[in-house]
Amino acid sequence: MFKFPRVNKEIVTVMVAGIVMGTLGVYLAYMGNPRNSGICISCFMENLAGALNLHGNARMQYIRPELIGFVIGGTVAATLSREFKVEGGSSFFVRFLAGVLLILGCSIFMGCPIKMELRFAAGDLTVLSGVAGLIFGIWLGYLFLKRGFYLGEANPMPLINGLMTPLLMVLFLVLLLSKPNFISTSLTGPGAQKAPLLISLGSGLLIGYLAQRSRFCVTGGIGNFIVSGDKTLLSGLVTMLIFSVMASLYLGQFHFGIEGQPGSHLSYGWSFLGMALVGITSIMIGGCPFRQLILASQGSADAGVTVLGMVAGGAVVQGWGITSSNLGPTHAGKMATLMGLTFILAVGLIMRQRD
Amino acid sequence: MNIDRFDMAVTVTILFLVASIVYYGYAENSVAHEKTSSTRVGSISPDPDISPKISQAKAMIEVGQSKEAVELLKPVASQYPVLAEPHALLGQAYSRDLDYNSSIKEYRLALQIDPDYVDKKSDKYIGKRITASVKECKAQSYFVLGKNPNDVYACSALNDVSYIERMLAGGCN
Repeated sequence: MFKFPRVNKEIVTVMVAGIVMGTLGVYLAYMGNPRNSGICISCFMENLAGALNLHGNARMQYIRPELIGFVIGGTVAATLSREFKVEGGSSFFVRFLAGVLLILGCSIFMGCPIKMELRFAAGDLTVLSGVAGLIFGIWLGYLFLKRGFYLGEANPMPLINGLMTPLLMVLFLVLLLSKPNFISTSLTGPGAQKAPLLISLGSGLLIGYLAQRSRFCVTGGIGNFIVSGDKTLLSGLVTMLIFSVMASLYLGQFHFGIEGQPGSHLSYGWSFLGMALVGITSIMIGGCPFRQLILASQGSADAGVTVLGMVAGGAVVQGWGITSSNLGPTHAGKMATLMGLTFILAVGLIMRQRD
Repeated sequence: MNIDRFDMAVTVTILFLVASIVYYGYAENSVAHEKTSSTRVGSISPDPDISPKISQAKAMIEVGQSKEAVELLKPVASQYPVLAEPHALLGQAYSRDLDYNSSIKEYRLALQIDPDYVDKKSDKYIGKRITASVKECKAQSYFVLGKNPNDVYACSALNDVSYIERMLAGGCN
């Protein structure tokens, strides 16, 4: 008698999350988000910081509904599955600064790990140096973990600490809808390029929900495969890539090559270093920028502090001229990358638990 | 405290990074400061004296007096290097004169100062004109390079074209 093969529920959940993220990531760009930036945590954080007037770049100001959706969707998923657990207290200050470094590294490359995958799916070959850098950084991060790097234990905390990030996102949603004077919105530039509100918010909610259920994480997926050969999370990345390629081809967003790629530059060395910084930092604090949002949505106060650090990072990279442009990284960006790498390696050294 | 080989390797890397920071900070500081300043002040209000010149240059370009427009705009562009409009108009003037290499150089300068010239939501948008110049400049440059692969001007033009194509493609820039 024919028997259906046993299906690993975890892998199926991750693959479904990958399919949805890959498809919606391209669809959001098709519907109005900047090209190849349907989902980009670092760009979104810079836009959010701009909307809050934390920096003065008038072209990068918009409260992205996708960010709100990721967190609220994740909170709903965690609550329904009884996984909402409030804990924290593990090296807050280091995690805050790590959030800043994540956005710094992403801004040098011009994209977070998810945008990196979406750019690659759209045929942009300039990301390959960033991919190499990310993998190198992840490997380095795991070296530190293997040699005793430890940020301290997270302990149970009062409920309000875990609710802060979701409540903050609700506040941002209210600000987005009510449009008070103190919230800025770009009229031109990437901040003005946006998908319709309901599509952005709905996509964010769905992605947030699935990401929480599946534990989707770019750096975690690559890292687990490198360290232990575990393909669970990697399967999500692979399906995301496949479906985003298909979506790019179907929607005419695919443009293969190096030249004429949107939101890119040709400084491969600095892309490598920027993403290496993202890789190391992500492994040390337990997840990529997107994963930090999802962890914050399910009650992690530590991740909530990292999210605040990412908002601060968005303000800093724009306000101090650190972010790269199509010309390549600025002088400030190069200095900041080197300083960021120095800092994270020093933290790694200091926070090793030795026998 | 036990110091192992991993500690030593990381410490050496940190020292190397610190040395790199000192090098970049000392060697490139003044040049980088200029570049940063010039590319971040695209929206400075122009001196009232140049507005009539800008308007006159626009009228000249419309009626085909490209050479005269170039002569008028060149001193304005050099006197106000942080303004994008003179460079954008020079790009158009050179393009009308079929000097696509110079046109692309001016468009690049304009875009470095003010990317709104390739933003469809901006009333400054001149993306189609820039695209036309890019197309012609590319064709010319490849033709020249086909005869002389070491032609510096053609290589420089293609470098400018590469930057402008990335700007025209959009994305977060």
